[in-house]
Amino acid sequence: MAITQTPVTPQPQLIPTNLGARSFAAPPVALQQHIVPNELFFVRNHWKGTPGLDPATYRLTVEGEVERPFSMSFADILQLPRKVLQVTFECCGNGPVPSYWDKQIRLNNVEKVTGHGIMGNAVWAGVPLVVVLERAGVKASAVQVVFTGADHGPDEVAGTPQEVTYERALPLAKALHPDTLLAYEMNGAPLPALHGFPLRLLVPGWYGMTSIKWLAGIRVIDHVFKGFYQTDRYMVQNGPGAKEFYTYLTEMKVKSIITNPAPGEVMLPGQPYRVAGAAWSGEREIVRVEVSTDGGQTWQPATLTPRIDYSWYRWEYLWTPPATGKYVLMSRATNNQGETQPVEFPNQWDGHPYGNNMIFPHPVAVRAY
Amino acid sequence: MPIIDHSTQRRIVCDDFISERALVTQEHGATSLTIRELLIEPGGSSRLCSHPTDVAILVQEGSIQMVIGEEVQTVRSGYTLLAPPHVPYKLINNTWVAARMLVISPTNDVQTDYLE
Repeated sequence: MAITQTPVTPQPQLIPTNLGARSFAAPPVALQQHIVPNELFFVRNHWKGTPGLDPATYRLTVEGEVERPFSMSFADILQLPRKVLQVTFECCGNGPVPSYWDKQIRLNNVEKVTGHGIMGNAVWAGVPLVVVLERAGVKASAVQVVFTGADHGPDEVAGTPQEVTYERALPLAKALHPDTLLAYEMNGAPLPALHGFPLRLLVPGWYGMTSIKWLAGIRVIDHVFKGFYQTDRYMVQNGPGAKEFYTYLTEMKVKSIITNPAPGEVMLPGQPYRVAGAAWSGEREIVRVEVSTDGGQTWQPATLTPRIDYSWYRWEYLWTPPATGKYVLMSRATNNQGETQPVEFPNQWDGHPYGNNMIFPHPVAVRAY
Repeated sequence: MPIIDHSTQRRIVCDDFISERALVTQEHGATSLTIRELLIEPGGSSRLCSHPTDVAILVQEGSIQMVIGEEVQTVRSGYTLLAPPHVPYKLINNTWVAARMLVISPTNDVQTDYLE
């Protein structure tokens, strides 16, 4: 190992989130920026490595309940109408689960998630999916559209199925939405390999698992898709008495996080500090973010900055810590449907971290230096 | 045979972000081994330092950025940093959660050269 000048303050990096180098969280500092740079944008993949698709030989197939099945090259795709959108999305397992649920989660063989780094906001460019579907001519019998990734392998949690391809479906209405994209650019650069190069689906407002990477095929079907990653993953159990046993996650729930101060950041007594963060609610609008500096006993309104396209909203609240000590900051977002973040962890029936949008405590220490 | 009860080992607070406790030392009867448990909270970092012996740092919980020589890598529990003799290294927690590590040295007389 060569020994040179050691960088005493190196730049933050992606943080591995589970063994096997499949997933990486953004560090806290990355979420302080409105646009998260590609190198710090979270990675959530089901298998190690990437399929390594060659754009020179790449073909996207469109088939099923369509009048004119076809396949097209990557060069053909680049010639189609282009759309640029800011889109925030998060893995549906993003966000820490209260420690009293740890045991349950371990029993379920689901990794404990810490921090909020499995999310980000970026500028995406691509072709509206509807352009491709209209070219194929969707039949009246169509019900859903299935998207197949080039990634496959044994299921990462159970090991079985021993061989399964990552694919999920969208309802026809969402597939035909003019802002659902086949994305080939991320923050002005070609889609990085870890993010689905050369082409991925991008479903604004929905949790990240719907935005299939390394897109290999589009299949319009006349029934409801029952694939493994559609029906056996990304759902939470409902409690007794519920109509359905599971709730399957789709649109991102109303949620907010505190990004400033970052974990461990020093705050000074008597010195105004700009507490800041992000809020989002799928396709819906955020109408209010409130901040508590006393563990949820009292709440004050934060200043909201409007979103761009489907980005997160940024918010700020000026707070002057009155004295040294420990405080618990919280943020609470409300959307235009009147939905507000719950005080408690929402998945109390099975302890799964999916769709956890609770009001998160953000402990801080105010120190005099 | 010395049996060391971890719960009775006193934790020393080094600064606002770092604390440690000795799990195996000369005082426990070790003749060629030292094991310390190191806890670095988010926002904390150790000083750049080196030792005349190998040092293995086993990440037990959380995640930490490790700088060793010219390499910088952020790792989580399940990874071990091996710092060879006289190679400077540093631990920085710019992640979301506290990192708990075991620091193992093949000596009962750990010598440290601080470089900052």
